[in-house]
Amino acid sequence: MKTHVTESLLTESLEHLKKTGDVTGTLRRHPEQAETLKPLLETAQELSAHYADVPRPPAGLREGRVQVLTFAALQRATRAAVSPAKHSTPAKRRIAPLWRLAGVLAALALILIPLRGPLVSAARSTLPGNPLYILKLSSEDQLFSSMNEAEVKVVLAVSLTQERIEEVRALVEKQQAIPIDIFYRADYMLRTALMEAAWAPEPMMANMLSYIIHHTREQSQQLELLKLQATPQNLGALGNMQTLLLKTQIIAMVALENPETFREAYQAGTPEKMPLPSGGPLSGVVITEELKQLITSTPDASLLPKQTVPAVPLLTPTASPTPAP
Amino acid sequence: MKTRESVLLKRAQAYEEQAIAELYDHYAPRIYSYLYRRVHDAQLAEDLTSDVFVRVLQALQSEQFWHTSFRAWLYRIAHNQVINHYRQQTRQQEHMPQLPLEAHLETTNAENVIADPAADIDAQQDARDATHGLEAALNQLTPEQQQVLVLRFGEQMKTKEVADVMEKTSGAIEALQHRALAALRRMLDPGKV
Repeated sequence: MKTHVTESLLTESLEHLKKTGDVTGTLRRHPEQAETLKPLLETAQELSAHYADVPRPPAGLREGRVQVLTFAALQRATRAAVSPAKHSTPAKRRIAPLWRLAGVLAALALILIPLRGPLVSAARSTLPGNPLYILKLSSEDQLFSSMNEAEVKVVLAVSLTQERIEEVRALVEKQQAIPIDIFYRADYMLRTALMEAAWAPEPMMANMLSYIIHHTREQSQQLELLKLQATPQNLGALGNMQTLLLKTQIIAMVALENPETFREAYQAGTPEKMPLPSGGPLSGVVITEELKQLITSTPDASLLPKQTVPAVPLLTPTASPTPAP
Repeated sequence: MKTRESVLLKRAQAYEEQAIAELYDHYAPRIYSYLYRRVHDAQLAEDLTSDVFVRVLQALQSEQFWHTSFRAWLYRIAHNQVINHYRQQTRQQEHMPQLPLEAHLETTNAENVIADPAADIDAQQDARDATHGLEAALNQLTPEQQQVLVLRFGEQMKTKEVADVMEKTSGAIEALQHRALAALRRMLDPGKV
């Protein structure tokens, strides 16, 4: 005859089962209820085995980590903007928050470019020549230097390069000259991205390099389209920018094939020792004075690797989470 | 609450990168497992995991702070993300979706579980049938019963911890657990309970 099992008795038996894994031994402790208890304990065991099968997360939780840390960095920057500095003079206190807020908002707009389409136009509005442009650049620097995580830095460096391309786009559309500073800023960001990758551990480095390749390739294609509407004066600048993106792509591709060489060259602070191909996409590109040093600093080497590089976005745009009521 | 954890949370409130990274590294794998057990889709579970942590960072700034256990609070947020996900799906499809059982079976059996070379094909087929039966039976339970079982036998929480997550008394959790196991057994093996 079956005997009623109280809820606390079941809980106590389940705890014992969890510790010992022995159904028979657990039932022996409550012989009168054993018949009723047995199917419940067996079901619990089946459930534990069933729930133990959890596949590894597809991206190893890395993308989410970058997303969360980037979100935190943005919040930190916003908070810094709205809190006046404690030790500033009265005059500075009046003006600093406004200036800092404007700068950080510009930076926020920048970093949110890949995430929020409508903000693109807001970010584009500040161009070289505008008095606010220097503020925008300094806020970018501030944001960038506040980051410690290598993956976040790579994502941000690529996003800031994209911002330079958006500026180029706006200037081309307005038929205004593209200043060389834009090129240097993009160059600095892409070098930094490669340097971060060179110091990253093995699996992370490959992800970063693939991310850089994927995005610089897209950026290069954007510039190709811009050439159709560029003035002859701007064609050279667009070519320079494309060469820079191409060179970054090539370095990243060679690095994927020869990670050790890449590491050695970049970690030693001698990226010029990274062997690069002389032919391939670099051939036929008009080399301007500004690019001479950049290009000639790389000795010739083997042909461009022919492997297909998978697009591995480090930062996946997602909708903002909606809180449950 | 552990002192080290409270210090980390205080730092996370100030959006300090290292503290957030540490909390994420510690809790994200557990939250991912919990979410996977609820949604049966690895990619979705991974996406929801980062959403949970963004929500945590937002909630740390507001009044919706946890009162007793950070871990329980984290699981509550994860549970809310699951509910939100299904609500959004419901809005899109105008009906509550069935759990993606077939996708789950394909994933667990095809690529993510290392096959035992000694196991024969019949045994593998039996295991698939058993998993299918158990999963189908679980889907028949109430959402609360499902949650109790996931927390108790998936996350291996004690009844008190489950009570914290679900904001119920330990007695209520024990009753839910009893009813859930009995109902599950009846569906899997009618006549034994």
